[in-house]
Amino acid sequence: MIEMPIKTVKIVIAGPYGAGKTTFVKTLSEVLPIETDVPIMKSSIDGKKSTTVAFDYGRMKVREDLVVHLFGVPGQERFSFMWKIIARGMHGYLFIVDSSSEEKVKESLGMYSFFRENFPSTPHVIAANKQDAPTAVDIFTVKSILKVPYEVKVMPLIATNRRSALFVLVTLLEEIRSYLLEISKYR
Amino acid sequence: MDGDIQRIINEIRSSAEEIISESPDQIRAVYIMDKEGTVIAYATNTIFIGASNTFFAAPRFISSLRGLVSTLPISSINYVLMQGADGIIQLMDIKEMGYVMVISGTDASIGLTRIILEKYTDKLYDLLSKLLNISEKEIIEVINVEITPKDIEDVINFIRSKVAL
Repeated sequence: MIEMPIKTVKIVIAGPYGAGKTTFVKTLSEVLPIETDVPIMKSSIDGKKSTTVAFDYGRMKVREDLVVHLFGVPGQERFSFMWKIIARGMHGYLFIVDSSSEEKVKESLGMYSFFRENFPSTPHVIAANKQDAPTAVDIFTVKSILKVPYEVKVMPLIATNRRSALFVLVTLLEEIRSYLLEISKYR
Repeated sequence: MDGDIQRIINEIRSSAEEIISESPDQIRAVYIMDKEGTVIAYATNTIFIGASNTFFAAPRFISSLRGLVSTLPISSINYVLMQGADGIIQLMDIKEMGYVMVISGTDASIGLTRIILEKYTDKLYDLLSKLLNISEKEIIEVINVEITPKDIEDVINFIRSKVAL
């Protein structure tokens, strides 16, 4: 029997330490069938069938031949060399920032610049998390501090809120779809 | 974080600390970077202001340096010496696997520091090679099957079918 190749939509969840990446995925997994801590089956040419993935947040089977894979990157700067490796081949990324204060947003600038410089054309959405904090800064301020290009969406997020988390994920997927549609015009 | 990766990073950091201990009066900070300038580990011997900012500045520095060097007839970067008003930067290539960069207070120990860096090159090369190999193995390569806009639409519809947005 011929095995159908499995398509993998690779989404990276980025953001500094404490921004809310794990909480975001945890909230999603409460409403979506996201499997976590599973070895990834890989039909590779070299015959290797499976490999355990570090920094794996989880995966969601959409069709028999289509899975969405969520990868998390360690937010600590000392692991920055891993960011490029994890992000290789991604279809899009969600950049989560702690927007509970201007200082917290400023702490994200370096990491965001790193992603922008290394993956300039990859579709992404910025999620301003902790919008329920009394000191939270508004979206415009986040956009201004991070010097976000005008075409990139900055979304409010409360990572503990299911509706909010889902809305951000769907927005990112819509951005990826638009990008794929756009590049398909030039092929 | 995978245990092997963490162990190698710790070893790289220990090497940076050893380099400082070779000349603690002169060397302020040591950075070990991959070939794109991403800082893997660093060590300082004093409170070195802005040490962590280098995480993001270093890739730009290496990229700019490479851009410059590519226009000059000197091949790859082996060694760079840069003098600022308040310190010296010595950057050495680790056999095209990465770079080690030292910041010193004065120019009095430039020669000595260069000898120290050369002494550590082989060890750092081995550690960086191991780190790269393990990192590559640990991260799944996404199978190269093209994703179409329709696939993404299916994902969106799948999510919507699970919850009412």
